[in-house]
Amino acid sequence: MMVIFPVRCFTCGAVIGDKFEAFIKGVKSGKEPGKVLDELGIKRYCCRRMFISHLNLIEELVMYSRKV
Amino acid sequence: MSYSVTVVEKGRNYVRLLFRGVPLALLNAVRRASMEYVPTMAIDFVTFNNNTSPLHDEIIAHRLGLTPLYSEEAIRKYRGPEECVDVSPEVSTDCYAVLSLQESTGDGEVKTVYSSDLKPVTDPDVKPVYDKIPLIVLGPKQEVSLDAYARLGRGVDHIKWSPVTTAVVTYSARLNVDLGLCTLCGKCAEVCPRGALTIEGGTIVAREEKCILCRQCVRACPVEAISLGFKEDEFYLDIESSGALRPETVIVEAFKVITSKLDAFLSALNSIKAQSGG
Repeated sequence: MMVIFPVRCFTCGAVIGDKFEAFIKGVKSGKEPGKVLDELGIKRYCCRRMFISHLNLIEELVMYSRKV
Repeated sequence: MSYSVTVVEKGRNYVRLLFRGVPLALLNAVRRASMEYVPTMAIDFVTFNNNTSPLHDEIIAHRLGLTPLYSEEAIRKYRGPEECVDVSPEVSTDCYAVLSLQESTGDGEVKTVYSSDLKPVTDPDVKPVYDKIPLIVLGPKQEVSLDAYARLGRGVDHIKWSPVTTAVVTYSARLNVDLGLCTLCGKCAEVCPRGALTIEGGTIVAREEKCILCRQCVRACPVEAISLGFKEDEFYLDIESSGALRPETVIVEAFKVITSKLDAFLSALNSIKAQSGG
């Protein structure tokens, strides 16, 4: 699990980062996650698990600055 | 020897070709060359002026590296990967293209920084392919300011330089049903995941182009009427591009790489031949 959504699929290297917000938007509008992924053209199950298993922890971490 | 190439399927970042009469070894060389040797632009060096975001410099640099950059023009414009390894990024404009990212947030503001916020400085042709990749998220009163240096490289050194995400060669199926044995029970059509076998109008129809060689039908057939093999001189090549280069460019460049490698090999052989006096 990553803090922020990965740019590429860990297994096949396909670019998936650009589709993350469209996926979240689709799921929040009440569509089934699998259907949203089909519409976005995410075919392989390695890429699909990247979306359905992601927990966007950055939304919480972002309230704390890193000590520099 | 006669050979042919047919485009079976084509999308913006995807192509499926059917080669006839081309040896498997050559296609596999093309596949490997497109993954490992076709050059593309990718960010290789990042200088941080300021970073108060929750993400470490290294994580941001890694994400920038994996972000595909347009390389169609760049592969002709910039010096090759081998010439740029020891060149200092800040001084060289024929090796490196510079991009910059400057984002900050006010009080109580939370903002996502996208790949489209990464702006080209020296070369407008070298810019991120996708606009909507979330690179960083900034919380209230945070700032990121950095310069990124992209150069040509090869997938064999780091996967960020590979122009393809998947490159696969597959066999073409030869699906035979012995009509003398077949009882039209339909068990094969039931188990076939791709609909390559169907019973239509009192006979069995095999669509070889749909078959993925899973052998479920061979196992399911109670009278062993189905034989499944592959064609010796027909192969599919699937190329899925990262977006840095168009898939057709990848294949053409892969052939160029193989040709130049063979030329280098031949001239090395010739020099040995000349040395041994024969």
